[in-house]
Amino acid sequence: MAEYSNPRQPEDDVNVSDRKPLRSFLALAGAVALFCGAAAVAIAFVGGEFAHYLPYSTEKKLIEPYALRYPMREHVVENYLQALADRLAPGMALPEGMAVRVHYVDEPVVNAFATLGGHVAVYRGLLEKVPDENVLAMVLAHEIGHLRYRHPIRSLGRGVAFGAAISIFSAAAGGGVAEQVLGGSGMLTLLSFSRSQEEEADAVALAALVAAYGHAGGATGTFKLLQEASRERGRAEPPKILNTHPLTEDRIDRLADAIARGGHRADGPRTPLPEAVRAAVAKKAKGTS
Amino acid sequence: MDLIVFAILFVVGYFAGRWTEKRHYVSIREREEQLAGVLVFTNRFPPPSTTRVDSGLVAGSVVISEDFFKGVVAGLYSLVGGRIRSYESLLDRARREAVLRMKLEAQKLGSGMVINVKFQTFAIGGRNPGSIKGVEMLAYGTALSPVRH
Repeated sequence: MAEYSNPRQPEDDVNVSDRKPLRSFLALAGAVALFCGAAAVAIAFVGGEFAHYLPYSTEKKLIEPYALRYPMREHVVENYLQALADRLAPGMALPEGMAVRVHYVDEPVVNAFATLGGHVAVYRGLLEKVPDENVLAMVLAHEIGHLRYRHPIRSLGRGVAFGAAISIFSAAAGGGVAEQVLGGSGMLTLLSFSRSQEEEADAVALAALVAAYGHAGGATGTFKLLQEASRERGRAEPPKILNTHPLTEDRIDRLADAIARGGHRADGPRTPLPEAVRAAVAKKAKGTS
Repeated sequence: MDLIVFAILFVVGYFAGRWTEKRHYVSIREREEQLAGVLVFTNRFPPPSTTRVDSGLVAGSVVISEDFFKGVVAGLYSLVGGRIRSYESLLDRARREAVLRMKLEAQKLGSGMVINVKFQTFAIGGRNPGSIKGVEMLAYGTALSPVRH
């Protein structure tokens, strides 16, 4: 049998082509993750863009269980805020059937937000800071502006769609996102708006402010106030691209521009906050802090 | 939570899989040297020069499991297409191990040559998601040994 032999298996086996499996994995996973990420963002975008086709009545039903937890109160501050909103809203071309409901939140945060179902919340901390009614009206009008363009439902749609997209890859992570968006307080307070949405809201707010008071006094004061508030909390403003809110300086400039272009009076007689409201806010502030 | 479990399985799978594979290859090379005296051929008939010999069936079979890492990479390949390169080493090891076991059996019979060698393979598990995936490799052939009497 001398004419026969078996060759030795070469070290470099032709049948094993992957010498660096980890590198292959990273390349593959990177490509797949990139694709999935793009898909998730696209789905979220679609969710956000189409959410406002949800009829307002459906949105209202959706929020009903949460809204019932915060019934109308006979409270001097809340009544005042509601009256102010009722004065501003008619000129803002709200979607049909939308009624603005303002809630007064007795917490020292300098903040206000708009959420689903036409609800707006104003914190005590903000009321302590506002120098006059005009500034407060600008804040309210801005939040009503979000409602007018139905930003809350768009934000919710975007969040839910994103959560659903993520849950294709990881049930727990996707569920977490959806839960955060849909669950309890998250739905009400954590809705985030894009920079262009903020600008939209600013524009209609300015118009409403001018319509109500005959001049644009207080419009820019609002954002200076918010800027001071964030400075007090010790946070510098993040760089522009990272921030969805228009930077305060930009925002003030843009508003000043809009005032000039619209030919509005830049300032005029300011309306003070009613004494009863001031007193109620001040009393509470002393009581807690 | 399931992401953490996944990450642990993935890392354990990668390192454990690499370690066992490395050891297996070392062992395979060693035994290939030792059993180099037993020749294997796919010819159906003995070489013409062969005198009268005894013949018998010899077989070597091995079952090798994938590790979690290989499975994940294979899953990714199944998304984008192409060769499932992470399974190549698995099958290579199975093939060589099966031949080695078959050779060992032939050596026990006093044979120096196995002809008509064939392979069969069978996938184990993997029908249900999350079940163990493995491969059985069977090598068999006809061992020729000098006439005993």
